[in-house]
Amino acid sequence: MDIVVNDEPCQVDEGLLVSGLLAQLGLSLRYLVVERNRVIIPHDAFDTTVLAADDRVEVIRFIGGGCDQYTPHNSRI
Amino acid sequence: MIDVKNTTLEEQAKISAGVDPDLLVIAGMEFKSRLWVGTGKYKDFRETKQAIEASGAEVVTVAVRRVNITDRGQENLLDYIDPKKYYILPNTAGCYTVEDALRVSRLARTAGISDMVKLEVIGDEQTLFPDTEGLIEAARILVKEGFIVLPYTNDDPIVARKLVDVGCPAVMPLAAPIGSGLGIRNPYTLRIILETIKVPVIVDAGVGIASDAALAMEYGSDAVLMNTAIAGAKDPVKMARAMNYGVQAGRLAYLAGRIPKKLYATASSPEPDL
Repeated sequence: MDIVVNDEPCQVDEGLLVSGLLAQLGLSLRYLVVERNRVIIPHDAFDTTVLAADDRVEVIRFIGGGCDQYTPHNSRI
Repeated sequence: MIDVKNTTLEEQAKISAGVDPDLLVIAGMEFKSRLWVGTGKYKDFRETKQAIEASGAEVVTVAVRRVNITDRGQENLLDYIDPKKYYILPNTAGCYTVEDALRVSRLARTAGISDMVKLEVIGDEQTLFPDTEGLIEAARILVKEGFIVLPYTNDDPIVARKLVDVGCPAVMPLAAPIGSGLGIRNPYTLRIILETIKVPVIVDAGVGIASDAALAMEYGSDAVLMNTAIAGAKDPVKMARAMNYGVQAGRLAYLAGRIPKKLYATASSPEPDL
């Protein structure tokens, strides 16, 4: 089935869990935050949340930034 | 001589240690260092780590962004900046609306590092000045949700007061536009904020060099937050150390109490006894 992860189209297996998606993407789970269709998925639900076709998933983490982090409008999350 | 009999045990401990810890306390958290630093704009994570160590900072700000899923080899900032060693302060940099700032704050909290958020609602790309109307609204909502909201605000005493009124345990007025390095542009309004606001005041953004940081502390600011002044210096690690000293010197000078400014000379040597 097709889903969208951080605006990139992705083909994944039916019934894929959020934890499975993160594993496929090669991402360590530490300090990651996942939104599915604009709803935050708590860490303890990664192993029980099943993705559906056309889901929009956002995978977010912390990067370097300060008071002085200039961020052009179009590159925000 | 200090009268040891009339001091508490705690005071005696401080005296025997030869130091007064002079802690900054915000929402029950105690901070020894009054220099807070950002983690943006460094060459690499190694330099980030070295500069933060040299700065002596305990509070380190980070931004919240999407993972680049097409570049999986990316290193994680938090592998270099250990959240067990530092207070990680997520910010809402890049948020131009209340809705965005709320969303990023909630995402940051979900990562499970902290309930603190450095709240930014930016009004304009060219100045990066805060949208203070949106800032107060977002602060009110986040405080109700249990966040410890540290708002990046203008050097406006009335806005600072309103932010305290909605429950912010500290306010963070700017010295000058973000990344400008101009130093404190409105010393008199900053001093009004320092006199009228009863929660800690952290000067945030616009500092250029160590004397700017020292001056902010000499006025009585409780801490200074900076990023570009260190990360953008020719030698960031050296500048981090300079800022560390600048903040400490300014704080000590504030506590020591300056002499009044006078128009005429006052001899510093005793009058000759002739």
